[in-house]
Amino acid sequence: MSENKVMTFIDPYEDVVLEDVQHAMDMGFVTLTEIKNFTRAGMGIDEGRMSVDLVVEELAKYYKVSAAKVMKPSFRPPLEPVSVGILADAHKKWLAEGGRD
Amino acid sequence: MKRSYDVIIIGGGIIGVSIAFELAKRGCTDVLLLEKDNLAAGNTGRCMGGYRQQWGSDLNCQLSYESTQIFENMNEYTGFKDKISFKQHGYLLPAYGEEEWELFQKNLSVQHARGIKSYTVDVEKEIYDYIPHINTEGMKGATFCHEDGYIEPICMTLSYAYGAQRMGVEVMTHTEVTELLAEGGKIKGVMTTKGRFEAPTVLNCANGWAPALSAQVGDILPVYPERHQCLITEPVEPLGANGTTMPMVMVFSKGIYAQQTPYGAVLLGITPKNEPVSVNQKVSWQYLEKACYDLTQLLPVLRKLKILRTWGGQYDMTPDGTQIIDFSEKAKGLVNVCGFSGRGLLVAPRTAILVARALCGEPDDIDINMFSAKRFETGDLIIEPSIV
Repeated sequence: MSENKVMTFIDPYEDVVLEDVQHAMDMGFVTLTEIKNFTRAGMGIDEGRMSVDLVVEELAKYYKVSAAKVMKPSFRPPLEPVSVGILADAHKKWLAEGGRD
Repeated sequence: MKRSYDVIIIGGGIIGVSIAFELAKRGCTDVLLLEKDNLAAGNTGRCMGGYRQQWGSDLNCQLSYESTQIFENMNEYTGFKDKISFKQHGYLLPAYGEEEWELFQKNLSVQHARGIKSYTVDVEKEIYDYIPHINTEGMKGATFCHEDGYIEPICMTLSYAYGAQRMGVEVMTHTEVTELLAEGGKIKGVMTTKGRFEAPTVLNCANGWAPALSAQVGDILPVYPERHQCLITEPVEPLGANGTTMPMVMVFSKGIYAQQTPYGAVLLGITPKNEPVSVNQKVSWQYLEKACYDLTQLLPVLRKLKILRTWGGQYDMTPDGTQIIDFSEKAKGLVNVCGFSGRGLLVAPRTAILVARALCGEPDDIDINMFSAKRFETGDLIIEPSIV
């Protein structure tokens, strides 16, 4: 990579840059999910909050459609990262109260 | 638009694309692969990507051993230039109780006969050289194979698809097969959301959706979906010994399996109990809590990790837990390849070779007919003792 090259980050958590997304679209991927699977954009700790809209914009530009036409992903639980320990303790409590697996 | 092909493959999961690749490699390049969504959108993309060779039956040892040889050289094999995240960091299988330990010893001799480099690990001391923070309470012993590990399922699917396309196979995504067209006991082609395509040979590799398609020509396949749920944590420093990623730990008796991916995230899966038969891709909070509890019992050090995502997917189970490769008698030319029971990814390379050889009339040392769905009537079941 030349020294003067500017890197545009799409997903700083997964080190995905604009070129990666363009490469994915050049390979023929048309949906956000496909781009995510191939580049990992949106799989970082922010769960795509930063990258989704940027990828949508790139898709719209590349395929010459309005950004409103690009399907966005659904959010799945947990909405915020939650620690393994907190959930483990919830089950421990459930067992202590007589719950069964 | 071209409407007629030699072979049509239904399903862009790992089974479909690998067969397409192997067919093309043998000169059969007039192939159309149809996928209703994007490649690996079904259960291939939902799996955890673990693969192992530590099986209890000779058949699975052979399939997984020979598939692993291909995994090791995946990029060269298909010509795919992008990374496929392949890592041989091993599988650790702890045994709880005398009975399980005896089974594992027996499995080892089956594995060694196939050249698989698995061995026993002492749980008093040696085990910490593999996973430093493991809780060994109740463990009788463990086996390990360092050539088992992780392969990114989506990239592997793309890799095969790329290789197949390079040789002339046509891959059509976002095209759903709505009907199998049969006439006079022979398959003629398929009807899709993009119109009719014809071929004298149709491969039904639609995984959990395969039985509904084959039923249209009267083939009843005993394949039913079983929900498994997964979670993934934030990426962290390597958790294995000596700065390596944590190998897969798989506890059969508790139905729990966890490993660290090459980029640091911890993946955890759990085998459900009393799960109703349904295509359910959601995750329940009960599962999350129980999975975290079981995980922290085994690896208390993981308590502080944060969970990023959860998802569900289906194992396409058969009554004996082994795949069906069935040459239809009601519609000649139709081949149903499904029911991999959660092992599709790790046996795909070798199974694809088996199917492609059969279709191209080449010999193979595995008898493809043993996978026929007729075995459920005759009782010649193929049983694997070590499944999770």
